[in-house]
Parts: sequence; structure tokens; C-alpha cells
Amino acid sequence: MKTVLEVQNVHKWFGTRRILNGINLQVREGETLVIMGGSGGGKSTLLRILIGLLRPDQGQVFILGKDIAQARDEEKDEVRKKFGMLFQGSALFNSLSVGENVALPLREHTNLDYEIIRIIVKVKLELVGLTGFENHRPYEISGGMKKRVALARAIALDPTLVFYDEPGAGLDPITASVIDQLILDLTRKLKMTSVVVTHEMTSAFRIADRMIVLHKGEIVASGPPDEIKHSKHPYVQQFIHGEIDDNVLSQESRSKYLQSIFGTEDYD
Amino acid sequence: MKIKIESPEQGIEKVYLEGELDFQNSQQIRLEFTRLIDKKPIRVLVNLEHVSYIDSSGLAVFIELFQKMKRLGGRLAFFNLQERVRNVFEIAKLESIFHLAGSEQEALTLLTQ
Repeated sequence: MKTVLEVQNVHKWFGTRRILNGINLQVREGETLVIMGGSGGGKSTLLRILIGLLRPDQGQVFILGKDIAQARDEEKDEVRKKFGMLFQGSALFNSLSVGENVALPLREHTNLDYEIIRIIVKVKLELVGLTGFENHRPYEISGGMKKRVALARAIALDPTLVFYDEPGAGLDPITASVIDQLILDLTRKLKMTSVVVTHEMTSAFRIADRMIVLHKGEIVASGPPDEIKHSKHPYVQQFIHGEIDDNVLSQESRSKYLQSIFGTEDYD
Repeated sequence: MKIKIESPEQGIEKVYLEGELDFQNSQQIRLEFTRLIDKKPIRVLVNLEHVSYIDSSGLAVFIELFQKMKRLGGRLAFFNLQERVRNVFEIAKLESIFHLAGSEQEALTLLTQ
């Protein structure tokens, strides 16, 4: 099976803070990779690098064979047509109707006739369970519906690869499972490749073929869901079971806190 | 994408498609279908044996053909679909609306029922 996405030795710093430290991964056609990790672990930065919104300080990101990390803006635009992106905040245009939002990539990137676009929009909205909502404005529908509209837009051009940023965030469990099922159907039936950033455990284990866990900018575990579930890595177990990390939350931050107040490490 | 249309008898049109039906060529196939509809056929049979992929625009072109045939009072069937193509109909929840047959004979039977 061909490789759709390949990340080679990606490093990223923000000032003196190291965000990503030597990330390597591969995603094959038709595979669903779930990227997990706590806040500040580097997953959002990695996602921004994957879709070409941020340049890594070092390393390469190949999408369908093209290095998006080093590509010029016009080359990036060409690569971007081949993948869809579901943003966490949906990013719909309030000035456009639901139908027009879904139609937007079709109008911008194809020469399809109005009637054909109208049919495609209806099919995509049915896929996300929103038949009949074409003429509503985004501010007239719920957050969960907005997310589904955004997903319909992300897959409007039938991309071979779709990135999802927290697809289930802010959704009730039933709507979240509808989105999960759709990701599974697109992957299994249309061989679409999915890269999902999430910290929703139920969803992650439901949809993943393979998972990686990011911690402090590094991949600390990688493998199929069963392997991750039984990983011996303390952070992975802590993350999966939602346990408090005394080391991280107490000692390290306490030391910084006291230093910031007393201006010295010697406060005893 | 290649297209060949035959009229073996009055009112029946057989369409042979070959290749991938996608955003790049669906408009051309749509034009061919418009010409076909102008002949006001009673039955249209589309052989998809050599179609390895259709995208949403391809599906939309088929949906439009279906709508036009219905308006004419005619009937439409597809046959010999590859699994990946059938999946596109299934994921759009349209496999029970369209006549999707395993063979040309089965397609003909479906249209004469």
C-alpha cells in the first residue's frame, strides 16, 4: 500500500521552548492514524506543520510525495487541494449558507456546473446527517451541526487524505459517534486516509488503525490500539486512564511558581 | 475516460464507460448524457465493468441522468460495478434507489419488471 504521508525528523522550537523533537511517522493509504497527547504535548503544532501552516525548523513532511514543509506557497496550494481539513472550530463562513459553505471548494477548484455542485452538496450533507439544512446560516445551527457541515466541506473534493483536529470536541456522545462512523466509512469504503488529532479516548480507540502518543514533543508510543492500551509506558497509561501526573503538575510547576515569586531557587 | 453509446434497438441505449470518472472529465460525460437524453430513450443500460473509480462529481452526473430519465418516464440501470464504485453508491445511501445489477441480463430484467 502506498505511503500518503511521511514525516521525517521534524523539529520545532518556539523561542527557547522545544515543541517537537525528532518526529518520524508514516501513514499508508486507507489508514486512520490517531495522534494523541495532552495539552502542550505538541500535537497541534505537529498538525499545523502537516498541513503546511507552519514550517518546521528541521525535517521534511511529504504529502503524496511532495515536501510541503519546504514547498513555495503556490506549490502548497496545489498539495492542499489533495487533502481536506476539519478545523476544531469548524471555520464556517457566517455570511454563506450551509450549502454555500460546502460548495465553496467545488466552486473554487473545479469547473463543475451549478446543478452538479448542487447535487454533490446534497449528497455530502446527507453523509453527515444534515439533509434539508442547505439554506440555514451557520449561526442558526448548533455547534455539533457546524462541525458536521465543516466535515461535509472538508470532503467536498473527495480528498485522498483528511486531517481532523479534535473532531469530537464539544459534541454529545451520539453526534461524536456519528462522526466516528463517518470517518470509518470513508476510510473503509472509499480508501480515504485519515489523520485524527484527539484526546477523546473512546473515539480514538474506535477509529484508529494505528496510534501515536506525543509527550513533550516526542513520540513515546506508537502502534495499533491494542498495543497502546497495554503499553507499559507510564505516561501512556496515565493519559489513557486520565490519572494525575504528580511529577508534572506538582514538583516542576511548583518549583517554577516559587521561583517566579521569590526570584530565586533558594526560598527555604 | 472513454465513452461509447450503442442503440441496439429503438428506445434502448447501451453506454460503455472506461477509466476513472472524476472532476477532470465528469463534465464531458455529462454532455454525452445530455445528447443521449435528447433521443428520449425508454431504457438506458450503463456498463461500469471498466470503471475503476468514480468521485462525487461522477456520482452527481449519474444522479442527474437518473432524474432526467425519470422525468422522461424511462428507466436506467447500471451493471458490472467494481466494488470501489459500488461503495460510492452505498456511502451516499443510493444503492437501493439506483438499479445496480451484476450482469447485463440482470439489468435488462430489472428494467422490464
